[in-house]
Amino acid sequence: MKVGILIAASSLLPLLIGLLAVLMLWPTGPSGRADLALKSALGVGLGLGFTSGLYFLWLVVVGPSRGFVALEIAALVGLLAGLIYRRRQGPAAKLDVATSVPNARSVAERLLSVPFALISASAFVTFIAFLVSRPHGRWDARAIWNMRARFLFRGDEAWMDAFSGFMSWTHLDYPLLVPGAIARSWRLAGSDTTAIPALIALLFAFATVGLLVASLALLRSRSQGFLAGIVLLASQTFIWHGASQYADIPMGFFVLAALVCIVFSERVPSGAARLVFLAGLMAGLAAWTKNEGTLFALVLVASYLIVVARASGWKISLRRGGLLVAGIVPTALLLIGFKMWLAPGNDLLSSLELSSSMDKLIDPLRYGYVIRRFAAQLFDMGDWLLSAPVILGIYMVGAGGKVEAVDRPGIAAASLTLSLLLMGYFLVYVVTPHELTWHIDTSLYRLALHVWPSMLFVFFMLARTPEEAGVIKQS
Amino acid sequence: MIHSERTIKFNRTALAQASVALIILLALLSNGQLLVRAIEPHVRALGGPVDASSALDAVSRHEKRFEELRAVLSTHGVVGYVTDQQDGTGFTSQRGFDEYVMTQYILAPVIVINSREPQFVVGNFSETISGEPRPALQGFRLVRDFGDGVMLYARE
Repeated sequence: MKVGILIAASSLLPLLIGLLAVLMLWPTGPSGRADLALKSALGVGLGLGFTSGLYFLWLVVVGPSRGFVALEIAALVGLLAGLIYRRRQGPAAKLDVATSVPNARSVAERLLSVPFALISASAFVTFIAFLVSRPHGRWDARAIWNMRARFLFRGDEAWMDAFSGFMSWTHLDYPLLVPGAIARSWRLAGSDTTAIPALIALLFAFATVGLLVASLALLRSRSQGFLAGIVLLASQTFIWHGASQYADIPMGFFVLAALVCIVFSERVPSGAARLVFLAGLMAGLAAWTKNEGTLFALVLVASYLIVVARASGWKISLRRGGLLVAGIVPTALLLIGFKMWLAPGNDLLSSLELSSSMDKLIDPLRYGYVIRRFAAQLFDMGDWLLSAPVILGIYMVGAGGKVEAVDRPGIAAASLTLSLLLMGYFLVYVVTPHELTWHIDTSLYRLALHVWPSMLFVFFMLARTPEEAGVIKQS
Repeated sequence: MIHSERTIKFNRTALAQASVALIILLALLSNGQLLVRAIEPHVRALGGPVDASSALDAVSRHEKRFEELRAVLSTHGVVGYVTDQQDGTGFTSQRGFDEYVMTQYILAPVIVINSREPQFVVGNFSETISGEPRPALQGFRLVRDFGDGVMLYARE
C-alpha cells in the first residue's frame, strides 16, 4: 500500500512539472477537452524527460539519495509562481486555432467518436494484458533500458558500474531518459517494482495517441483527430512495442511533440518564440532518449532554418532557429557530459572504417537492398491486416488534400525533417559495419515507430477532413 | 461536362466514404486480433492447473531461480558465468545467450561476465546436473548449490 502511494506520488510530480511548464510556454487559446489533452500529453513527455535529466545530474553531483525531490518541488513551485505572474501580466500571445470545421459537434465527429472509444478501450486492455504477461518487458527492455535502470538504482554508490566496459554488449552509450525516469521513481518509491517501467511505457504510448488526436482536433477537426487516433491505436507494432517497454515509443513521442509545436508556432500571429523553444526542448529530449534523437535534433534545426528562410528570409530564420537551438541546448549539454565522461564509444561509429565505408557507399547492391527493405517497411507501416499506407492513400485520393496557408511552413518543416531523418537512417544502413540483413531485421521495424505517429500527423494535416470530403452528410 | 464533373465528385466522395469505412473495419479487426493475442495466455492460465511458477513469465521464473543466489552476492563487483549451453567458442543456442542476459538483468548491479576468470563464478545449468560440479570447472570449488541448476563456485 505504502509503495503504491509512493509510486503514485513519484509519477505525479513529473506530470505536474511537465504540465505547468507547457502551460508556461503555451499561448492562450480556446480552452476545452482537446486543448487540455494536448497540454497534458506534452506535459507527460516534458515532465518525465526533465525529471530523468535532473535525477541523472543529481546522481553525478550529489550521489544516490532522495534529495533530488526537493529540487523537483522547487521546480514545481517556481513554475506555479511563474504561471501566476504570467497570468497577472495580462493576456499572452493568442493561438489561432480556427479549424476548418465549425466547433459544433459534427455528424462525422459523433460517428467517429464511437469506434475511436472502442479501439482506445481495446488498445488499453491489450496494453495492460501484455504488461502483465511480460512485466519485465521484452528483449531491449531487459537487456538495455530496465537493466541500466537497475544499475542506477540498485548500484547505490557504485551506480557507475552501469557503464562498465564488461557489458559492452548492452550498448553502454545509449542515452538515459528512460532508465533515468525509471530509476528516479524507484528511488522515490524505495522499491524496484516492475510497475514503474510499465507505467512509464503506458504513459508514453497513450500520451503519443493523445497528442496526435488533440493536435489534429485543434488544427483540423475533431473527426480528423479521431481518424488519426484510430489508425495509430490499431497499429499492432505501436501497442506491442509500447507494452514491450522499448524506448522507441518515447522517441516517437518526442519526434511528434517537436513537430506539433513547430506547426502550432505558425498559428501564433504575435510571435512563435515560446512554441519554437518548446519544440527545441522536445527535440533535445529525443536526443536524451535514443542516439537517433541526436540526428533528429540536427535535421529538425536544418529543416526549420531552410523552411523559415524560404518563407520569411534568413534574418528571421536565424532568429527563430536560435530559439529552437536554445531549447535543445540544456539536454545537449547533459548528453555531451554523459558521452564524454561516462559512455564508451558508439558501436556503430567505432567500428566504421573509412575505406570499408567508402566501398559500401558506392555499392549499388546495398542501396538496392536497403531501398527494398524500406519500401517493404513503408508498405507494412503499423502492421495492419492490410497495408495502412495504401488505405490512407485511397482516402487521400477520395478526400483530396487541403492545407491552410498558415500551416504550410510548419508542415513543410515537419515533412523535410522526417524525410531527412529517414535518409539518415538509410545511410546508416548502407555503411553499417554489421551484417546488413541482420542489422535491418533487428532494427528497421523499431525505427519506423520513431516516425509513424508523425507521419500520421503530417498526413492528416494534408488530407481533407471527413466533413470537408463529404464522407458523412451533415444534418 | 457537368455530368462528368458530378460523376467524378460522386466517385471521389464514395471512395473517401469507402476508405473511412475500411479504416474503421480494419482497425477494429487489427485491434481485436492483438487483443486476443494479448489476453489468450491469461485465459489459458485461468483454465489451466494452479501452479504459481508456471504462471510466471520466463524472466520472473529465472528471477525466482536466482533469488537466493542474489541474496548472498555482494551489492557490486564482477562474477563469472558458466552454463551447459556454451562450448569453447560461445553460446550454443539463442536460449543460452538469452539466459545469460536474463542472469545479468536479475543479478544487477553485480556485473556478470561470460568468463571463468573472476574469483566467483555463477553456474546456470539444466536441473538434471544440479549438485554435480561440471568437469570443466576444475580449479573451482562449489560454494553452494541453490537448486534448480543454480550454483556458485569459487576459485580454489
